Amino acid sequence: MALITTTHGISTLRDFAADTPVAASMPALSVSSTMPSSGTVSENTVPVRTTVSPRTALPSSIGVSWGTIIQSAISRTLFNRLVRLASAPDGWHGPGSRALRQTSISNFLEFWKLIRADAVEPELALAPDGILYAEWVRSPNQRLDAKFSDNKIFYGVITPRSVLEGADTRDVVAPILKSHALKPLQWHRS
Amino acid sequence: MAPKLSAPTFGQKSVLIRYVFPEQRLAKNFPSAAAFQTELPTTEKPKPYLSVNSTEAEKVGVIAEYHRNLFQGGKGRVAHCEHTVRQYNEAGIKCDVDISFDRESAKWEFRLSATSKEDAYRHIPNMESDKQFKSWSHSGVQFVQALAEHNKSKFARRMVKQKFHLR
Repeated sequence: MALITTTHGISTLRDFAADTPVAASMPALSVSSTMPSSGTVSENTVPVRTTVSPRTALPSSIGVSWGTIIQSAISRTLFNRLVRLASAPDGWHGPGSRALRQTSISNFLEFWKLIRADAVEPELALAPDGILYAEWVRSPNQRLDAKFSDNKIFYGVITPRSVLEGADTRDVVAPILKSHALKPLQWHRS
Repeated sequence: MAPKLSAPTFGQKSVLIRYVFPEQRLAKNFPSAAAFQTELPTTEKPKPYLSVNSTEAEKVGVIAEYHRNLFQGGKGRVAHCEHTVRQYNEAGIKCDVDISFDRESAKWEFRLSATSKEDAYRHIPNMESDKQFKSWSHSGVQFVQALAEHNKSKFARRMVKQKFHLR
């Protein structure tokens, strides 16, 4: 059992723990692995004291990514979806299908850190080859999807009048999508 | 005596149903582009294809029951994407797959290499006696084997412009 007293990241953890079915299975965290650097902590953040117990039911790909998950400050809804996708075992989609790859999660979370100030949270899905998809959908004909392979992002913005598609590293893709005139990172269905 | 089952012909207007797993369902009945990606090659299935079911061969209700039993333990509503062969062909051609109709065999073909053409669609009935759940209409969209890596995403993107049906 680890006793954690910290600020920004752990307040997010407390939110998860409130009513998340999988929250009871979160791994123990060491302070050193989860504390945000001093430069990232908002002056307005209220310190929170909480206790986390180690359990075994959390998918390993989530456990390995725990530090990045905390830093990325994703919502409880998005975290729940991520855990659900990570819970699908090898073979979930038939022979040859794979569980969610930890490298794909990491690529997504690091990308999310680059864009979150300019984006609403996407919907997540899992491809049979174990790769994570993030999608921002305004309507059937206005969608942005991003497929997170180990080190690249395959992305596409489709509208009735234009198509923008490509593949590159997150450092290249993030500014392209953030500066897109139609602001696809803010698309979501109301 | 059981009625004779007809095999699908995969004409332009033929409808193919793709089951959408819960991990690939987005809000408000939209499918994720992830639903149109294939598995990795295995020894049993060295050339992955998109599994679909043809409504030429079985009624939608029969196909839904098969998917419900196979993937959902007989419970809940299944999610189906419906596309015509024409829509599959158009998406494949936009993604640089060489698809053409061979009049002699009356089949859609695709070019896998400079020297070989293969059937773009194949009837692959799951009727083996050892299988708990059987499907006569099960088929494969084979031309996805010719998609280059970056075109796999492009193809999937073009297949998710419609909501899925819940049955």
